[in-house]
Amino acid sequence: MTRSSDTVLREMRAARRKNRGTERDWIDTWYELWLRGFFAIVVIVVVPIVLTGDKLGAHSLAQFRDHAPGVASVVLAVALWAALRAGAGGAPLAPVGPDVMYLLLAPIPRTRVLRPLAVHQLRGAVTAGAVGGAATGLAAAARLPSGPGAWALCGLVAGPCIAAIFWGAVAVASARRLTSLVANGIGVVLVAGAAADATLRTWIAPTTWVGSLALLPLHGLVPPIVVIAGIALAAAVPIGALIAIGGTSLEPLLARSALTSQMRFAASLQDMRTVVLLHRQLAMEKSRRRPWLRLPTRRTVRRPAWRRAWHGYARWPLDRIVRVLALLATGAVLTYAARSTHLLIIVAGVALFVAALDIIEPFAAELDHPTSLLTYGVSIRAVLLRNLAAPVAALVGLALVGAATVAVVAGHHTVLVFACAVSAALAALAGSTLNVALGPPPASQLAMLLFSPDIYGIVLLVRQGLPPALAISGLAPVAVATASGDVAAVVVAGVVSGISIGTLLYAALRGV
Amino acid sequence: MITVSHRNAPESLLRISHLTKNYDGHAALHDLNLRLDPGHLVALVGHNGAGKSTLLGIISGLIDPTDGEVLVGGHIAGSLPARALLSYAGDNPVLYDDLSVWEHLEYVAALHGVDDWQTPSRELVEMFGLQDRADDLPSRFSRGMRQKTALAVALVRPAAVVIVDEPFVGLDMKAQAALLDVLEARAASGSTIIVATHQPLFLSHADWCVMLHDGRLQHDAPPNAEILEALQKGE
Repeated sequence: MTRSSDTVLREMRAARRKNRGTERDWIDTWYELWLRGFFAIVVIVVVPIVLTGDKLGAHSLAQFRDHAPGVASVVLAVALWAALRAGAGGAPLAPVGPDVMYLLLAPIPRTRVLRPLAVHQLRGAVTAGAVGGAATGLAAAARLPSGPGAWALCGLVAGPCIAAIFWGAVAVASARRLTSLVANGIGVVLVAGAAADATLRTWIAPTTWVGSLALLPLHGLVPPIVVIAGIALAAAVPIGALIAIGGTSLEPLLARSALTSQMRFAASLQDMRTVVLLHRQLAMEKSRRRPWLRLPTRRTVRRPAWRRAWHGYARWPLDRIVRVLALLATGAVLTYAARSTHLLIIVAGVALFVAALDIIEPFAAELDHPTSLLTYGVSIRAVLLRNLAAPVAALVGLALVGAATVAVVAGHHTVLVFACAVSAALAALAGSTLNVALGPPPASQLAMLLFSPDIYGIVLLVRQGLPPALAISGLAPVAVATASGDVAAVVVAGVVSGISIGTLLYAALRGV
Repeated sequence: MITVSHRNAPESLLRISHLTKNYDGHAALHDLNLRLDPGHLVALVGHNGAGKSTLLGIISGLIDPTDGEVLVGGHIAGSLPARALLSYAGDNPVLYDDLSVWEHLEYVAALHGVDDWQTPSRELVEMFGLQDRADDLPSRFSRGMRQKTALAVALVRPAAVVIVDEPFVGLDMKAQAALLDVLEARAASGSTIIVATHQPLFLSHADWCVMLHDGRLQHDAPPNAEILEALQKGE
C-alpha cells in the first residue's frame, strides 16, 4: 500500500534522528531548556543594568509621550523595509541541500516541507522577542512611570508581536517572490506613513499600531482600537506567511542552504572573516559592475595597493555602504547616549568594530590569498602595511567629517570631539585588523596539553575578546571626559590612538 | 556553422518557448526554443558557461526563468504535476549525511509513490557496485561513491523525463558503462533522457544532440561529426 507523503516525511525524519544518534534522552532536553532559560535570565538581568538611568522629569516625560509612538513607528517601518528586502533576497528559510533536491522536487505540496521549518523559525523569533521585550521593559521601568511589572508585561506582549511581524514580513516577501523594486516600494510607503504619523501625531500607519504596543503602560496614550489593530496585524502577517510559504522560490533556497551551513560552521570556529564573507554572499551583496566613481587611468601606477583599495570601495554595493554608515551612526549616537548610560559604550564600540570589519576589506582580501602575496616580488609585510593606508584614511576621514559636523552643531568641546573621533576610528580599525590577522583560534594540541581545559578556554576567550575590547577602548575618552574633564580625555585619546597605531603595525608586520 | 532545426511534434514531452535567463544583466540563456519528444537520449553539450546547467536547473524547477516558458508533459516546470514526471541529478551529488544509501532509495521512491522500491533499488545498487556500502551513511563516501549514490537515487523511480548534469565525472569505467546501459534502457522504454556532458564518447550513444553556445541554441538535431569534432577540441 502506498504510504502518504506525510507518513514518509515523518518516517524519514525519524530515521535521520536515529542515524544521528540523537534520539534524545529527557535529560538532554531538560539540559537544553535549562541553558536557554539561563541565557534568557542573563539577558533579562543584564540589559536593564546596561540601559539603566534616572527617572524622567515631568517635561521630559511629556516630550516622550508626544514623540515615542511616532519614533517607534518610524524605527519599525525602517526595520520592516529591511525585512522586505531580505525576503526579496530569499530569506528567511534555509533548508538543507538534500531537502531542496529530494523533498522540494518531489511531487508533494512544498508547504508540507517548508511550513515545519517556518514554524520552528517563528517560534524562535517569538521567544527571542519575549526575552528582549521583557528585558527592555524592565529597563524602561527605571525611567518611566507605571512600575517594572507593567513594563515587563508590556514587553512580553510587544516583543513577540514585533518579532512576529518582522519575521512575517521577511517570509511573506519570500513566499510572494517580491522583487527588490516592489520591496523597496512597500518599504518607502511604510516609512512615509510612519513619518506622517510621527509628524502629525496620528495613528494611521500600521507600524504605529504595532510599535505603540511597546508603550501600553503610559496611561491614556494608546487608544484601545490601536492596541487591538496592532495585535491583529502582528498575528495576521506571520499567519499569512505560513499559508503562502509553499510559494517560496527554490533558486535562493538552494544557495542559502549551502551558505547557511558553511556560516554556522565558520561561526562555531569563531572565524569572523569567513562569517563576514559568507554573510555578504547570503545577502547577495555583489560588487557593482560600474563603480560609483571611476578613478582616472594612468600609464604607470605608483601606489597600486592604495589605488586598488579605492577601486574596491568605489564598487561597494549600496547595501554595504548603508550598513556601514548605519553602524557608524549607531556608534556615534550610542556614544552620545553613553554620557548618561555609561555601559552603552560597549554596544557603541561593538558597532564600530563591526563597521570596521567591512572597511578593512583591502587588508583582509590580501590575507585571504596568502599564496598570491608571495608572487608580488615585494616584502609581504610591506604589502600588508600598504593595504592599511586606505582603510585608515577612509575611516579616520569619515570620523573627522562626523566630528566637524558635531563641532559646528554643538559649538563647544571642539578639541575633545575631534580627539574622541580619531581615537574611536583608529581603535575600531586596530580591533578589526587584529581580528583578521589573528584569524580563528587554532586547535593547538600543544596548548591543550599545557593548559587544563578551563584555562585554555579562558585563553581562547581573551584571544577572541581582545579585538572588540580594543575597539571599545577607543571610546574610553568619552567616559574620562564625563569623570575628569576635557584635558584628561584628550590625553587618554592620544594614548589610545598610539596603542591603536601600534596594534595596526603589529597586525601588518605579523604577516601571514 | 552547425544545423539548427525546429521540430514541430505535437506530442513533445518537453517544450521550451522563448526561454531567457539573466544573471545581473548577463544573459545565461537567450530566447531559447526547443522541443524534445519521448524516447530520446539527448546529449546537451556546449562550452563551460554555455548555459547547460542553467537550462537543466530551469527544466527541473530549481531555477526560475527570467522570461519564457518551460512545459514538462504540458505542465509548467517546477509545478507539482511536472515534478511527478521528472527526475533530476545535479552535477554536485547532494545527499543526507544521516541516511544510508538504502534509506535514500526507500524514502525518495516512496515520496514519488513507488511501492516496490526494493527491486529497482537492488538492481541499481548492484549495477553501481554499491552493494557492500548500501547500509553505510554517505558522509565518508568518496566523490565517486557519492555520485553513484545520487544517480541511483535519481533513477530509482520511473520518470518521463530524466535529466542528469555531468554524470560521468568521477565515475569509474564500469560505472560509466552501467549508467549508459540504464539511460539507454530508460530511453527505449519511452522516457526522454537529457545528459549534459563534455564526454565525446556519450555522443555515439545519444540519438539527439542539443548544443548551446553563449546561451543560444546552436544545434538541435542528431549528433554529427562536426559536433563530435567540436567536443573533442574542447569547444
